[in-house]
Amino acid sequence: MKRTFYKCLLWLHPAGFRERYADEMLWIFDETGGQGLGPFTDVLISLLRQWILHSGVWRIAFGAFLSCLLLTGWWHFQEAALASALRRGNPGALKEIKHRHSSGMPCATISGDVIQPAETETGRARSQADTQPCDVADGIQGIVAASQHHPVVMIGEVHWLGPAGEFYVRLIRDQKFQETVEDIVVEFASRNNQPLLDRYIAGEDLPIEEVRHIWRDTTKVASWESPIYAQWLAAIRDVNKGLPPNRRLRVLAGDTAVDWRSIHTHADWEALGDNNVSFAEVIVNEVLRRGHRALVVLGTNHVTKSGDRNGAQDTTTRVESRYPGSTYVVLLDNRGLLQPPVQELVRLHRLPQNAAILCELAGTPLGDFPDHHATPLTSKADALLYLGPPETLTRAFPPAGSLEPTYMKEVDRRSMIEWGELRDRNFLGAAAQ
Amino acid sequence: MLPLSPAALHILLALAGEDRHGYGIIKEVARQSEGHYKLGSGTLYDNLQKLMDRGLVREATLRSSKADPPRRYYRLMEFGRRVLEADLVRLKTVLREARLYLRTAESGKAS
Repeated sequence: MKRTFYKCLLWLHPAGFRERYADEMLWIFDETGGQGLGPFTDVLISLLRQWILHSGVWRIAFGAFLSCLLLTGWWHFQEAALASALRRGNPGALKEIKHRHSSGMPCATISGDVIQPAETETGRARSQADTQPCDVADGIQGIVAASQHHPVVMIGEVHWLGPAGEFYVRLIRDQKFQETVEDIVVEFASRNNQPLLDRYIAGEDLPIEEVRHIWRDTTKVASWESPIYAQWLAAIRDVNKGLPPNRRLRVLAGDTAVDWRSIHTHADWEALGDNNVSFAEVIVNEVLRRGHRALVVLGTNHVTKSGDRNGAQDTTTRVESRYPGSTYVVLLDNRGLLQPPVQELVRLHRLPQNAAILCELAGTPLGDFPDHHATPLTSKADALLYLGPPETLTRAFPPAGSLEPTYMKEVDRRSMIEWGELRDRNFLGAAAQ
Repeated sequence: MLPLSPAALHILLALAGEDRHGYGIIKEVARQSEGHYKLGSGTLYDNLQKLMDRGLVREATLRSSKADPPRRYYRLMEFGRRVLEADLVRLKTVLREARLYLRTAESGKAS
C-alpha cells in the first residue's frame, strides 16, 4: 500500500525526472523499508521542487501573473481615460460606458463617479440616463472632442441666426478648440477673396469698404449681410492676435470664385456651377491633404450625410467619397427636437443653464427620429446642436438703413440676374430702406 | 555556486572517495554524519541533477551484479573536487572564527 502510494507520487513527477530517477528512487524506498513519514515528505518536496523550479511551469505562472497585472493596469488606465473624456464632454465616452454596462463589462469607477455623481442616492438617475434621447455633451467641448476624432467637423447652419453667431464666437475663443483646429472653412466668402481674407484675419488694418467685399462678393446675392458673420471674422482676427503665428486660425473661403463685374445674365451666373464642388475642393486640398483639422460652417443643405434635399451630392458626400470617415456632421436643432428633455439633460449632466448642448445620435432614440421623408436623423447627421428653444433662434438683421444705396443698386442688379426679381431687397428688410 | 548547500556538500563528499550509486550515496552520507543527516531520495536526485547540470558530477557507466539490476553510478569531476575543496576552505575559516569567538566568550565569562 505504502509502496503503491510512493509509486504514485513518483509517477506525478515531470516526465524527464521520472524516466531518469523513478526506478532508482523506488529501489531506495524498497531498500530502506519506507519507514515513517520521511520518504513521503521528501518525495513530496521533490515533487513540488521539480514542478515549480525545474519544469518551466513557473515561467507560465509568472507569465500569467504578469499578464493579469498588465491587463488590470490597462483596464484601469482605460477607465481613467474614459472618465476624463466624459468630464471633458466627449460624446463618444458616454456611449462607450453604456456599451460596457449593457454588455456586463465592469466599469464601476466611471459609473459611480461620473455618470451619476449626485443622483445615485435617489436611484432616479439611472433610469433618466437610460431614457435620455441621445448622448449629451457641452456644445463647445463636444465639438472639440469630435474634432479630435474627425479632421473635418461640419456645422450645418440655418443662416443668420443670432444664437448661432454667438456660439461660433464662443467656440473659437475656447483654448482647446484653438489647440485642436487649424482651419475654419466658411460659406460666406468666395475663393478669389482668400488673399483679402488672409490679410484681414492676420490683423492688417484695412478699411471696412475693402473688408466687406469678403462677405458681399459671393455667388449668393446679399446672403451674408447678417452682422453675425462680420462679427465672427472680427473675433477670429482678435483671437489670432493672442496666438503664436504657427498656431493662428486660418479662415478659408469656401465659395466658388466669382467676379460680379463679368456676370451679366442668369446663364453667366449658372455657369458658376454647384458651390458644393468648391467647398469640397477647399476641404480636400487645403485641409485634409495638409493633415489639418477644420471646422466647416455651411448651410444645412450642403452638409447632410445623405446628400442634399434633392438627393444630389453635397459637400459632405463629396469629401467622404475621397476621404471616408473624415467628417463629423452637426446639424442645428431648429425644430426643438431636444426642447422637451433639455432641462433634464442640463441637470443630469451638470451643464450650465442655457449651455449649448451637443447630442450625439448614433444608437439613440433620437437618431431614429424620421424627417418628413421618413429618413432617420442619424442618416443625415452625427449630432444635433441645441442652442435654445425655436422661439429664441431668431435672425440677426443688419441695422436699418445700414446698407448704402450704391451697394443696394448692385444688389438689385445681382438679384435680377440670380432670381429674375428683387427678392434680396425683401429679406434684407429695414437695412435696405 | 558557493557556499554549497548541506545536501550538495554531503553528496560531493560521499563521491570524493569512489563512484557510488544513489543508495550508496545515501548510506555514505549517513555514515559520514554518524546518522545525523538523513538524505532522502528526492533530495538526492534533485541535487544530483543540479550538480550534473553544473558539471561537478557526471554519470559513470552502468554497473550490475548477478543479484541486482544495472545501477547508475555517479562520479565526482575534477571541477567538482575543486569546488568541494574551496567550500571546505570556507568552512575551515568559519570553524576557526567560530572557535575563536567561542573561546573569547568563554574566557570573558571565566574572568
